[in-house]
Amino acid sequence: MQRLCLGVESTAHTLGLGLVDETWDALADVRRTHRPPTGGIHPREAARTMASSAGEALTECFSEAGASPNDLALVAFSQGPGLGPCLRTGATLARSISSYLGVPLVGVNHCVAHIEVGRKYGNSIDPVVLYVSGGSTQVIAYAGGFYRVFGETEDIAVGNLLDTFAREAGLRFPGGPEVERLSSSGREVVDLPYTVKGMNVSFSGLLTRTKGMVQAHRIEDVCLSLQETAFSMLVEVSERAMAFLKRDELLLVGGVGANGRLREMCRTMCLERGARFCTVEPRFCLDNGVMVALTGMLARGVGEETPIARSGVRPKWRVDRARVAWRAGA
Amino acid sequence: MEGRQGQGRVEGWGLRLEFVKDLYIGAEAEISLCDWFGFKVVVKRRRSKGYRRRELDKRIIAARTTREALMLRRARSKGVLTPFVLHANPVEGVIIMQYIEGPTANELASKAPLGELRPVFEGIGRSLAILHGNNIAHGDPTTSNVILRGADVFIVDFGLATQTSEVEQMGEDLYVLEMALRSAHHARSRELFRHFVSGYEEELGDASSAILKRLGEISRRGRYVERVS
Repeated sequence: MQRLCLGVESTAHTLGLGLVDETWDALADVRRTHRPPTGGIHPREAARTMASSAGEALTECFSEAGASPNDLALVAFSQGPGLGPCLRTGATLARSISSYLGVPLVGVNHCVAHIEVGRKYGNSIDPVVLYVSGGSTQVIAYAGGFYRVFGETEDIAVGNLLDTFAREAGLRFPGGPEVERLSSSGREVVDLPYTVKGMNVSFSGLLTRTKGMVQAHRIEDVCLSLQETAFSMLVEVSERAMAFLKRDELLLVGGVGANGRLREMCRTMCLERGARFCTVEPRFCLDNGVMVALTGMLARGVGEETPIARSGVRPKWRVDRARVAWRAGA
Repeated sequence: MEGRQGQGRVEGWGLRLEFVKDLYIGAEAEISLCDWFGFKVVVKRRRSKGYRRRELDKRIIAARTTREALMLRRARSKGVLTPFVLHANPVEGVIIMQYIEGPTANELASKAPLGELRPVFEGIGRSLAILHGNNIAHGDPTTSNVILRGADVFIVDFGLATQTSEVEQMGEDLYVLEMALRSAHHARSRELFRHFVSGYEEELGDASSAILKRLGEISRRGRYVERVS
């Protein structure tokens, strides 16, 4: 019998189930992503897709790992932040498995999970973290028991910027990869609002301007300009944080971290300042259950457990309000 | 660096500067110390960034250099201590200005006793109030951008400054400072920010209440703010 941890991820449009063994190896990584036919994600529809696919996803997860439910020693789930109905679906799944099998339950912070999978699989120790996704854009570093936010977006997240622009411009879903593909044949970077305030960024002006450009410019040039401007802002604030905190490691995580151009820009910045660039393979940048399992194991390692009575979801749980006890003294 | 370096001499820009040493390599710029006929000056050069597309890189460097030189002078004329500007070249991204010798508020904030920091943070509050009272938002008022020479509080790095009368921009300045304090000096951030606010209110008077109110709104605006109900 093995001692595995099951991680349940369900904060946005992806239901992710991951199985991790005691050597931190991912034995299974199963995902079901809700793709709305039109428009953005409707939380209740996404939750319904998750609920109806959870059963067969779980079966696939165990068969992929060659394990059985009796091999479980821990169940971890994303307790927040995220969309309420989706979070509740994942939490219900996690609670039922945990109480049926009598194994401990641990609720983890979704953002912390993105960071910890980056540290484990990206070979990173004490980085400045650039966390970029559909819902978040933050520059984070560990200090005194918490992952603290040194900079963040003052309005929309960068993934939201790319997706919303793509939708308005009539591009295929998912928007981010489509913008990346088109921008590779862009020729000219148009002057666009570049808004950096200290270590914070703001994207709403950029979104408004690019939406209005679609008619008069080649779509490839608009995509290129949008991507170059937004990513330059992100890399600039990351570098600021590295200089401010005197740290020489950058870790790129979150869904937008799968973008090849952003990865290249981060790598160049680190190379120029003699720092180390760390990231994980694109599939682990996206939401997944493995990162939740890893984080659950870290939390369990310092004795944490989330009793059912305290396992309610926390849709607005900020990363800097989640205790990171396993890094204390590090 | 523009001009010739060697034999401790830098010649360029029609000035006869003698290179002394490199002071600081920041995220955006390199700063070196030079001697100008016995007057200590710093040469700040914004470096070209390999990660940015060339046209974007040039645009950003030129805009920030122009803005910084202009705003340093404007702030000084309103009574805020800033380094005196001798020369600026937006194409090269170079500013030559007076050297201010002393620790940054960031260096002081983590080690000096709280009693000593009180006048310092009240002073920072007064300086920022003067800027705001004259419709200048600094854009990046972190503790690293404050240099203390004895009791004098110098504000530096105006590359992100704007001339504006919007309460929003002023509120964002306070937000940037509060975030920087909270993240870098979390144990004493509340007290330091309180001292800052008392100096700020004292100098700016009635106008400060709308800005402080906006600060509260901006902090609540951040994504995923958990409201305790």
